[in-house]
Amino acid sequence: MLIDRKHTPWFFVTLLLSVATVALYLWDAPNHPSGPAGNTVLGIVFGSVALAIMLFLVALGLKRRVPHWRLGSAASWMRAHIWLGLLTPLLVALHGAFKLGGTMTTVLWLLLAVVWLSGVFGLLLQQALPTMLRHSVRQETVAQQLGRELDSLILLAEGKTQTMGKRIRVVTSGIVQRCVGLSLHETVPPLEGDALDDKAVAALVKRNDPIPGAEPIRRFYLDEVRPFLRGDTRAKLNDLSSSEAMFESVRTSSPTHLHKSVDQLETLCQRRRELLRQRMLMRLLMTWLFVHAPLSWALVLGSIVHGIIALRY
Amino acid sequence: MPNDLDPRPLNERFDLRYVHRRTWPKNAIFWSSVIAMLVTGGVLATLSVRRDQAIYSSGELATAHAMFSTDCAQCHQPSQDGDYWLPVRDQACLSCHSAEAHHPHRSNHVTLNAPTGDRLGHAAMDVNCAVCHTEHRGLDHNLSAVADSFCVQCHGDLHRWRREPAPPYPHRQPSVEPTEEGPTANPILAFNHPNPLGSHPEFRVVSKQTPRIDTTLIRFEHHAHMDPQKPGMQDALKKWVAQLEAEGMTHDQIPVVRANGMLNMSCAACHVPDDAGRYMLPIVYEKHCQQCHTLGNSTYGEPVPHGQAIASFVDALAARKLYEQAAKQAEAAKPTTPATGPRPGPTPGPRPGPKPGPRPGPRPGPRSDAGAQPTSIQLASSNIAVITALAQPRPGPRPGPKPGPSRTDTSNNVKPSITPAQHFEFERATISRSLAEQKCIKCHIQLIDVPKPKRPRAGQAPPKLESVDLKSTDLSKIDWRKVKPKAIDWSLVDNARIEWAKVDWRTIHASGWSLLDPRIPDRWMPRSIFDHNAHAALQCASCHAGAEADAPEPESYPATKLTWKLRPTGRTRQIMMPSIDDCRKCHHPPNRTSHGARDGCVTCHTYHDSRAPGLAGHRHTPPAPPARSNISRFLNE
Repeated sequence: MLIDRKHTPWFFVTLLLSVATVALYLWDAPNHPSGPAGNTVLGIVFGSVALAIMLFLVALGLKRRVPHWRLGSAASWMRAHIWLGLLTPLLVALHGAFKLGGTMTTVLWLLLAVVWLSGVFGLLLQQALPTMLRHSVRQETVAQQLGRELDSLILLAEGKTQTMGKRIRVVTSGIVQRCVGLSLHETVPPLEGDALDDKAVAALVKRNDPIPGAEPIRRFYLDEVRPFLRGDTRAKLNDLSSSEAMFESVRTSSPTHLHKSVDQLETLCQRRRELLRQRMLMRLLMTWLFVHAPLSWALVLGSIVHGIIALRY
Repeated sequence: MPNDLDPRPLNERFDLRYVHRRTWPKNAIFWSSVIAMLVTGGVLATLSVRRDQAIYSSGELATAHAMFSTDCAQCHQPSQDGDYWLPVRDQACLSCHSAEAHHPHRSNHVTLNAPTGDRLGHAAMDVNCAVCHTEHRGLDHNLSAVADSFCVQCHGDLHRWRREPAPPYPHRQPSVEPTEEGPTANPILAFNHPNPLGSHPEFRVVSKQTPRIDTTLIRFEHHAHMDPQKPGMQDALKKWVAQLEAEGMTHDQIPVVRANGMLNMSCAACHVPDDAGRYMLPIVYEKHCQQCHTLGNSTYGEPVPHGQAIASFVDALAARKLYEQAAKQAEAAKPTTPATGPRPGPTPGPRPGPKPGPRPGPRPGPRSDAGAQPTSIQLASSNIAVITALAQPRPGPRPGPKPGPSRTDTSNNVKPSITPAQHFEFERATISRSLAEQKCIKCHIQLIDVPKPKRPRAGQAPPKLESVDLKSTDLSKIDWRKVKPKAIDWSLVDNARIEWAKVDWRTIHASGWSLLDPRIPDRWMPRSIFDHNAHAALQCASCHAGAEADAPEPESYPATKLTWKLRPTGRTRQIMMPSIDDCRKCHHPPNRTSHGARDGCVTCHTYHDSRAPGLAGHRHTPPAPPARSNISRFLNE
């Protein structure tokens, strides 16, 4: 979520709350000869408010599981999550009088620090990565469609077939069949299980006649493009500059009327690189949550136990 | 994507159910959150099952309580109702510690000082032990080293809290002139505060703002005893040193200073620390004075005792004198008495009968055993009643024909005689005055001119002495001449803050001559604590200046009529206690030149009132601190 003008009220509310709590702390501190602490009235109030905020913050994850509940917009929740989350360490510090305390409270402090820092890191990523994504990925897709999009690239290149038992039916033809004259027999991906029956394939698949001058493209496709589209991470086409040089070489060695097919193959490769970059960025965008979310729950659980034990003793 | 590249229809190009499908990152985050909670809960549950509560401790216990570090229940005990909450209650502390009562001004403990508590309300503070003695601050935390902020809470603005005069303190105040009551009302924020107005004021006993003098009822001048050139001083010191050497003391142990071939007394000659080395033991005549200042002998050749024994000694002398008078009268009456028949007239004292002298046998008297004259003490120990019986007039008509005024026999219409008790009181007062003028007054101060005792007249009843309840009586209406001296509780006099000199005056007047308590204070600063041993590296004179022979004459003190009589010279008026500036030379916060010694309130003051009953209902007797090694002891060891 980008920090925009909609956050202005929350910024001032957080600032006001920070100043107010610090002023309360300073006002109350001289009343305690041994210094302010978590067991004073104000310290307990600070701790209770901090715990309540923590519960609200983790409730964001639960709220996302019930998006149809009318509990406010996700954006509003996120704004509150961000700013109240930023306020929480101050409240906890005032609650503990800026001391770590014992083992339990030290662990809680550590958890809070990691959770808070990871949240800030995530917030910063949210500010930078979407812009980066918009510039580097021309056709961004939703995260859930990434896998389908990547799979469709090889489909677009080699066509779509359906297998019915050991029989294969061509649904659509791909670029390499239409323009390059590549045999479907060469492009049909191997099926799991039993090998295809060559006779059945020969009976069902119409073999195109070889197109004159397409052999360099055909070889280039089989050697470079196909492994790349199938996910070979060591393929040379993963690198943009290498890709451009290789496709330029193919164009040079192929007739002009086939350049359109070369361009289409290059588009597929470029598309795959973009989708891979989007997937990488989106994974990076989610990575901090692997730290933020679990430790948040551990922090909340520990804080509840700490509150009960501290009040008891 | 261009359509010519992807001829598929839209419904085939996209997964229309993608919303319902959870991607692996979200699933992973969800399950990692679940695992994190399970791990956290598991760890806490395991610790709970194992009853390991150390993780919840807010910090390490102090060394004194380290043995309880794994047993929270030692201090966190449930209430009598057995409820869930386990704060540290005072009873847990009192099960081991015999805590003294709280300062009456701050205590709102209902069983201790209800009126004060009601007056201050709960605004002051609660009185739980753990409020001040905070635990879980680490192994090195000193639980008794309460921070200054606790004291400053009230002493930073005493006007706010002092709504009535200071409460009585049942201890003896220094013998100083009466000044304002109660503790200082100056705001004290620290011993050394950047703002001088917030610093600890000058010690009252040496404050120049309220100058006071040493009004101890003893004639003593340090300067005279520290002057080696004083006539007779060298002879006396040599004799004393020889005596100490004969007792086995080594050269270094003898508390004299040898300089320029002369001996001089050191401070340690009289001022000896107690076993703990904290305070100096009281000056005792027999230990510190008698060597040079003997009291001599009475007219009967018996040594005059000192202290409380002088009372019985005077009684004995008076009894002996009466006895001798009676014997003399009996002896004088013997030749004029006929061999038979009654005595011609009533004679006071000797018994009538054929043998007027003292009877032989157990009755003491000069004639009971011609070879062993009883001493005065023996006479006194036989009771005044013996003397009284000797002088008892015989009732009944006098058979003798001798006319004359009768002093006892009222049946013959003669004037009543002087009673033996009156005789005895007169003799005792006379002897007391004589001894006082010859012996006591050399050291003890006589505040007024005691009138010479008058010989009692016949029929005059002795004054009846009364006891007065000083706590409930209007002191201004008391006729002090009728007050028994022993009925006065000096501590109560101090508490009532009477002008003590007035009380002394009346007391002396009422009793003729009485044994005056010299009122040398055990401690000149009773509201503070001090450890001489900790200051053993310092010279005595660095704090107690003015005792040396070459010490300058102290500046003049305002002397009232009373103080002038008490202390005629500036040296005798001076109270040789250190100024607060002397303490601040070392006790200050760290600065560029020195780390400074501790300057917290509890360095010199204690909060708990050790004189009042403890919280546990019994009086606390603080254990004597172990003897601390000083430098000389360390070197010797």
